[in-house]
Formats: sequence, C-alpha cells, structure tokens
Amino acid sequence: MLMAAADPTARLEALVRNHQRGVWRYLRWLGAGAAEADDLTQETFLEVWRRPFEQYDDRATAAYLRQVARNRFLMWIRARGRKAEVNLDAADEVFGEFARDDGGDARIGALADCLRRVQGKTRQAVDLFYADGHSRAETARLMGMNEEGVKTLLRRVKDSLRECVEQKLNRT
Amino acid sequence: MNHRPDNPDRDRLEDLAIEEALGRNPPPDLRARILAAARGDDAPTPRRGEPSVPARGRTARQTRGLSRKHWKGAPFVVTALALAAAVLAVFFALKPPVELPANAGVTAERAKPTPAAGAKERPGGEQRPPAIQPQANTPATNQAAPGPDRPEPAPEPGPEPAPKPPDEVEGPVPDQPEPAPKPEPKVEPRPEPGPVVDEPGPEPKPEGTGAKPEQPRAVVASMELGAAGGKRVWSSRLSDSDEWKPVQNLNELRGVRRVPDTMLVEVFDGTQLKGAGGELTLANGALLRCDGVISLHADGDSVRVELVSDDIYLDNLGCDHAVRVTRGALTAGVGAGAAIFAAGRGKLDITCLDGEISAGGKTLPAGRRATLNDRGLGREFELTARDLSHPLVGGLKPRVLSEEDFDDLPARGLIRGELARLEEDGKTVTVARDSGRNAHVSLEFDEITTLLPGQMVRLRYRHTGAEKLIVQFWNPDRKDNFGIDLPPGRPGQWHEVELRIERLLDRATAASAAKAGDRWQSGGVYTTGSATTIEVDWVEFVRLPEYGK
Repeated sequence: MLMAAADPTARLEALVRNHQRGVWRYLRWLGAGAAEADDLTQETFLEVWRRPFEQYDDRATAAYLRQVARNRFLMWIRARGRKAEVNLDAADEVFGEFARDDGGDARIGALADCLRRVQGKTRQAVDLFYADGHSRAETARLMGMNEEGVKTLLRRVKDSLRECVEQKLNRT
Repeated sequence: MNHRPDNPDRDRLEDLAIEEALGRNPPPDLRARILAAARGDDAPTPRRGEPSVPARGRTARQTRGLSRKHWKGAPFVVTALALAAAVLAVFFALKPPVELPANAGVTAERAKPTPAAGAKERPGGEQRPPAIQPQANTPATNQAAPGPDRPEPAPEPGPEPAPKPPDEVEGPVPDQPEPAPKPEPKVEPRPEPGPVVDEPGPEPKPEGTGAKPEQPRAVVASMELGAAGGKRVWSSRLSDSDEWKPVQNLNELRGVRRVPDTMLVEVFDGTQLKGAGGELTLANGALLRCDGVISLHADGDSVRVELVSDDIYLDNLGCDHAVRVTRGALTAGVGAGAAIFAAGRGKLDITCLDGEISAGGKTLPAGRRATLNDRGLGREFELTARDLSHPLVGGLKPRVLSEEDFDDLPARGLIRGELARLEEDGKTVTVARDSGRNAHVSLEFDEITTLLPGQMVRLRYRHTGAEKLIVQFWNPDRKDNFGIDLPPGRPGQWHEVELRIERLLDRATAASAAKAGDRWQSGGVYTTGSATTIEVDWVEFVRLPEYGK
C-alpha cells in the first residue's frame, strides 16, 4: 500500500497515530530529551510523508520509521557535538525486541499492571527513584537506607518486573 | 523488560519504560502538530515545555511555569474584531433603514458576572490578580475543545488505582488507546456589553471630532484597588483634553473598567494614567510602578508604555514578551530586565537594576545607568546607593510569577499525591495529599523554570506524624535536588513557609545554593516518618528584589 493514496492526510494521521509513540520512545532511548524527541518525531513523519513508501506490515513500517528517526537523530547530535546514549549499531535490534509491533505500548501496559503489585518498601524505592527522579543516593537518604541497599532493592524489583512482563506478554 | 539485564542499553530501555509506566515522561500525542506541519499550516503548535491547552483557556489553577502567556493571541483577536466591525459598519451604512419592532432597542441582559479567572481565594481571603482577558465584548477564542486540527493535551498520569488481587490483574493491554481529549477548562460566558455605567462603551468624544464606530480595545493592564492602602493613587483619562478622574470612580468612563465582584480594575489600550506611586500589572505579567503620567498601548504581543512625565519602575523579568518604554521618538526595550525610567526634556534616563535594557542600539546591563537621547545611549555610570534607594523600589511587594493551587490536577499531573477536597471554615478547599511512610507531594512543572534574582518559594501545608519537612526541587542541569530541611511545625495545623531560593542547597553535598539562572523542572514537599500525612494547599514562586541590600 502506498502512503500517497487517495486520502493522504488520513493516511498520515493513521501512520502517526499508530507509530508516534514507538518513534518517540526510540528517540528518547537514543538520548534525545523530551522536547528534542517531539521535534525529531515530527521531522521523521514529515520526511516519510514527503517520500511515500510501501507499507507491508506494522513491524516493517516501524523499523523503517526508526531508521529515518535514527538518521535524524544522528544529524541532530552531530550538529551539537553530542554522542548517542546507546550503541547505535545494535539499537534497532534491541529496540525492536522491546517494542515488538506496537512501539512498546503492550509492554508499557503490562509493566504498569505489574507495578501495581509492587508494594511497601520496594514500591517506595521505585517511586522515589523512577517517578520522582531522585538519585540513588538521595533515594537511600530519604528511605534511611544505604546506597548499596537501594541498588540491590531496585535490581531485584527490575528482575521481578521483567519476569512479570514477559509472562503477561507471552500469555497473549 | 528483556532477559538480558547485563546489557546497559537494555537496562536504560527498561528504566525509561518503568518511568513511563509510572506516569513520568509519557510520549505526547503529536498528531495535531504533525498534521498541521504537513499541511504547511503555520499555526502555532504546542512544543514541549509549553502548555498544550491554549493559554487563554487555561485557568490559574493549572501549574504555570514562569512565563505568563495571557496576552498571547490578543492582537489577532483585536485585529479580527476591528475588521469585523468595519465590515458591519459598511454593511449598515449601505443597508436601507428598516422599521424596528418595539423592543428592538433592548439590549441583552448582561450575563451574571463570575469571579475572574485566576483569582484564587486564599484561606485568609487574599485574592490574586486574575489572568488578564480581552475586553468584555471580545469573543472568547481558543476555547474550543480539541478537534482534529487542535493540539490535544498530553495524557496526564492520574492517581494509581488500588492494587487488585493477583487473580484479578488484567492482562497486558494489547493496544493502548489514544489518550482521550481532556476536557478544556470550563469557560465562563463573557459578559455581554450592555448599558452599564462602568462599561468602557462608547467614550464621549470631543465635539467636532466626528463619531467613529467603536473599535474593540484590548486590555493592556490591570490594577488592584485598595492595594495601596485605599489611597487614590491612580487617575485616568482618554485624551489630553479630558479631565483626570480617579479610577475608583466607577461612574466615569475613562478607559478603565472594574471587574465585577472584585477589586480589580482593567485598563484599556490608549488610556492615560497618572499614578502617585501606584502599581499595576501589564498584560504580559510585568509589574509597573508609576510616579508620573503614562499612557499604555497594545504593541504586537506586548504593551508599550509611553512615559509622559516623571518616573516609572518596570520589572519584566520572567515575562514572555518584551515591553517597550517610549518617550516620543526615544525607545527602550525591556526584555528580561528591571529598570527605573525617568523622563527628561528630550531624554530618557535609564537605571538598570536587574537583567538588561536595550536602547539606542546598545545594551545597558544591571548595575549601570545611562541617558537615552536622539544621539543614542550615553552618559553611562555605575549605580550608586542613591540610585538603588529610589522611592519607586522601596516597599515592593512580592510579584507572583507562577502558582499551583491544586484546585485541579496540574497540567502534568502529580508525580506523587492525589487531590482531596476539605471543608475548612465553611469553604471547600482542594489540596494535594499523600500519606504513609515518608509521605510526600511532588509534581513536574508545565515548563522548566529559570530562577530569577529575588525569587522565593512560598507554600501552605499541614502534616501529621512528620519528623522533618523537606522542600526540594530538581535541577536537571546539575542532576541534583536543591532543598532544605525544616522543622515540620505543629501537626494538624496549617503552616505557610516562605523561602528565598538561596536557602535551598544541593542535596548531594550541601556545598552550593540555588541561584538566579538555575533551572528547576519539578519539586515537592517531603516528610520523614514511619506514618505521616502531608497536605499542600498551594505552592507559588514569587519575586521580591532587594535592591541595594
């Protein structure tokens, strides 16, 4: 199916609706700030809008969009003398595995479900570190723990969350 | 969440996913913005750090960053209305007269005035100046619900639902639904123009000038009656031939209008004002103090102040748009700056107190004064103690830069805490609340806030069970919090705290203090204790410069 079909605006709208979150998450992961990810996501969709392409399936489309986004991101960081936060050679494979066909929506949804089960001290550490953005040292101070203890706690919760998410995703 | 935790890239991906699942930094809905760009539509689209909801439609209870954007778009409204008025005038001039029914002259009943938007009532009865609105007969714009062509608000993290038993936990969401458009803040109907004496309706014209169709005029400033001890500090008039009348005299039509049921007076474009130390807020949020005569004019996205005589003090730090101060052909630009301007014969003396002032092709920095005349900016000197003790900068009151009163969820939601309604002295108060071990309330600002000289944090809270209270804010550039530990005060009672930013130290080493120019992204109020509650009624940033101290 060609992008430039009968109703191009509707096609662009559908493309953006289905893939914008995946592209945005990918750019954030590569190292773009939130505002930069907004801009680069827009540039990515505008580029594919100007250069119609064949859409075989969602996974292939997502991979193509990530390729365009990656190029945009590279131009952006080169202009600023910055470096990517991740290994770009393996980036698409790692993110593709994470995002599957939906840009990561299902994984984030499963993760939110799994997080609801996290309670007590572990939950407090998760909130302070991830939701509030405290450093590990600050989280430890606020919780009256030492930093190594918080590190261990967070590692364990990530392990259990990983397991919980995989179970949920494999169930579907 | 893959089974390869040893890969730092996957680890980073997992961290970002957890943050998003907890409601921090979710992907925005960029459809409207991208479609607008694809159409070549150059309409402004929301950018990260700018409100998704049109500024005019926002209520003060949504967290604002430092900038005040009430003025955005007003010139377009005024221009459009002027064109519409001209078209109507031509239409009626050409149309043959028709016989009117008997009641045709009766004007619509004036809509019941409502408290001005943004006028948050403090527990002590204190009111804040409301957001400045277009003139009453200006049609409300930018208030429609999000449509396909309008930016939609980003999804907001809400309070976490109660945990479900494992057997009730739902499976993974296969396809996250698009965030539903958030209802726009309710817009009260604007009062209809009617035969009310304090409306700025058709002004009396000097004889012989010929009646022109009334042009809608923009509100360019507002002032609070009684703010200066009830003295008559402001008079107004429309032209040099008018008499000066005190703005308190509501029966007079002198380019001002009192906002019903408030102590607020709005000033319209073109009005001349005479002040004896009076204060007003320009439409872009700037503070102006006047000991002399000025006239105020809409000026693109901002306001132009024509200094007719004597002195003004203008503080435009933290405001969106630059203000021009003119004296005849002489012009000074006030962007991020605060200065005293004094009118002289063919000259304008400028005393720059904070930031910088541009004039005559040069920039005058803080701590310097100079004279602007038709040859440019010259006679530049360092400020003296006398300059800094100018009467117009004595006894300044804190200027509210931004506030969050938790009457509604902040634009980016709460990172921690939830809204709760309380009955207090017969009134309903909405607060942000949290309870449990080390309970805390925290939120991310609409946009990253750059701290200003003289900035302070103020907040009202109460707690139970807290051993300590911590007020802290996240500096994304330093990747550290800046905060202060405070004794929490008596449990169960409301407390108000006012902190100069310099009292907040970096939490990692406590070796450096927050300072003007630092940027804050989020912040909160934390308690320590095994079983605590914290309720925050409001938090605000204010600026109170202390020149010469």
